Amino acid sequence: MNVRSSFFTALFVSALMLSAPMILCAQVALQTPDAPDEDQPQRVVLTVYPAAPSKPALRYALLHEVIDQKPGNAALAYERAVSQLNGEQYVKDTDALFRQWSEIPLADLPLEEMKQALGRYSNVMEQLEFASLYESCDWQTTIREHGFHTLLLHLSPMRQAARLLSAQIRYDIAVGDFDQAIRHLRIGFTLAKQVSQGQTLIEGLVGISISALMLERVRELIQQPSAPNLYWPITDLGQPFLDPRQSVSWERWWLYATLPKLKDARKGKYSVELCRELMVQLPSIEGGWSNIDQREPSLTLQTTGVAVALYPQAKQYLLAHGRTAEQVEAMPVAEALLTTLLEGYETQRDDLFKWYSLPYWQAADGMRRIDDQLKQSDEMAMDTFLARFLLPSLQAARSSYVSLEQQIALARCVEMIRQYAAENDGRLPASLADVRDAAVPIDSATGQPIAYRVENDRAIIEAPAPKYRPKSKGFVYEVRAAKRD
Amino acid sequence: MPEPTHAMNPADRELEDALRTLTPSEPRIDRDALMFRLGRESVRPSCARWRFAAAAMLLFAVGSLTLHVSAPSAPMTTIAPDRMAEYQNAIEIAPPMMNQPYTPPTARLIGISTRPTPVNDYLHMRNMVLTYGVDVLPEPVARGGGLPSDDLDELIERPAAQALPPFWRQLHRIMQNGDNS
Repeated sequence: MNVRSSFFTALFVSALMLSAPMILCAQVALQTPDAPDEDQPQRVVLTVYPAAPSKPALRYALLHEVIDQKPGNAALAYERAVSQLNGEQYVKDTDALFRQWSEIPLADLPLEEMKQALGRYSNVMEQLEFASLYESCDWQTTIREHGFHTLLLHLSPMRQAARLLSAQIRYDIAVGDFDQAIRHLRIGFTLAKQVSQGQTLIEGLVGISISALMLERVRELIQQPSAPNLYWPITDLGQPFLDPRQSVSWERWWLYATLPKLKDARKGKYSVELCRELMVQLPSIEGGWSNIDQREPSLTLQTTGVAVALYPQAKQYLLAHGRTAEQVEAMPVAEALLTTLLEGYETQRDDLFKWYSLPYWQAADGMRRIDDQLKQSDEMAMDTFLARFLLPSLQAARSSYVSLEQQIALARCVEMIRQYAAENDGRLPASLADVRDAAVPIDSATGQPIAYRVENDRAIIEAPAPKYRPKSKGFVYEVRAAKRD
Repeated sequence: MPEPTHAMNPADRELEDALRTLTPSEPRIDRDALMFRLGRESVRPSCARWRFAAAAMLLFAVGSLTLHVSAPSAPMTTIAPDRMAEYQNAIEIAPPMMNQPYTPPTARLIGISTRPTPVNDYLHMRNMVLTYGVDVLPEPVARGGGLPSDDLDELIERPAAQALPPFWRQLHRIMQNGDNS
């Protein structure tokens, strides 16, 4: 083989080796699903018919009335209801069908097939309604006992129940039985609220997801020619409908629920033994209890090595945060390390969470600032180590609640348009302030009234994405007012 | 013939023994965080970034290996001998090793292992849900008995992998294959 052919062979092999990651990259690109355009808000086109508010205004309430409720815990009844949805046939066939039917236009739904499928689960529907009538809902998760080990096995069955409800509501709307549709919406919104009343962020987000599913059904319902006006029932869902604070209350305390002995350290009750033990246990949070045997000698040695390397940093931190040199020198090494880790964690944690209770438009900058600080901090910095690892993206969580509130506000705006059209010969209002006896919804992302304008005989209602979120998280509703035949 | 002791005092010997047994500190890389970052980057496919990431990972792997090999000479002598005794005690109070499988840190780094653990699961799930939405949550596994699976790993792992975005799913498959090989 001559030099030239060797050169080209080497070149070819090099190119092949270099192209391998590129091919993989291209493959990844091809496999990426059709994600929504990051630069465009979600566009929803609606055709609505005039409809004056119902009398009494809350006749079609979307949550159960207190007079209909009963004392007791709904969780057990929900579990009982959905236990019938886990059979092989249901998961593989029926649930798949319900998913499929959720994407078909209302007019194309196979109504007879739906009727039969839904009929098989009428007892589940009854039990779901029975459960939703309980005044309270305590899922009795074991956060206090198990911390990060807590299982949330109720969530997937509740999402199945929501899909069943959604299919039932679509069927009700398609056959024109609006009373039944609202009855089932009432169960769905109650389920969403009760799931979100769990103690974890994931439960809150599932509650948002079920709420959004029910709002999709509301959008379909209010486009029907003779559908009642739901402005006040939607308003009556509450503002906010789901409490964003409840689901993050435990997010501040996961660490201490998982390692209860840390509570003593947090109260200043340090002992050398406690500190040594916890310094050995802390790394296990990163690796997981069942993967890493925390008592395995090499892990203990590794912890020792880490401690040796980090002690100077802990001393620096303590000196910079109010301790005298004498106090630091007198402190056992394990205590110095643990104090630095926990103080740093709690400082970062509270700097983030203190913003959470504020409205998003006031909190966004503060949460963003802390997020950025954490991202830019040194991965081996002790005071931010636990925060980097354990804290959620609160901004993403909070904006999910904002997005739900925006969807509720937009649905109210659509109903204001229908009301105005009913009172003004089918015309669109030039401004939502022109609609009498109604309040213009506030955009929870900005604190300002929802943006509204009329263009080419269409009403454009806009709720842009919350600050620092992709534009695709925003909404633009394009509403056309039609006249009844 | 016994080795000469060079007249070391007990504290020095203790320190010498301790240093000899030390292993290099575990690379501070969290598998879930790494894969999450890769998954996020995959939404904006960039060959340059991919190549850079591959090169960085290779460098990191080589660096980790080098650190492993050079462990005995690692500069860990900045701590005073009396402080070292505390760590010796910490080692002594640690209970004996249990008969559970232990995944070496390097194996975790390259993704060979591991069934999800409850500890990682909540954090992992929460971050996934915040990024991709609740559809990444596991669905109940179809079972004839009508009750949810009692095999938590299967309940969490299999359906979640199916629901994940393609790039993540691909990584998941690679991990699975690595686990089996």
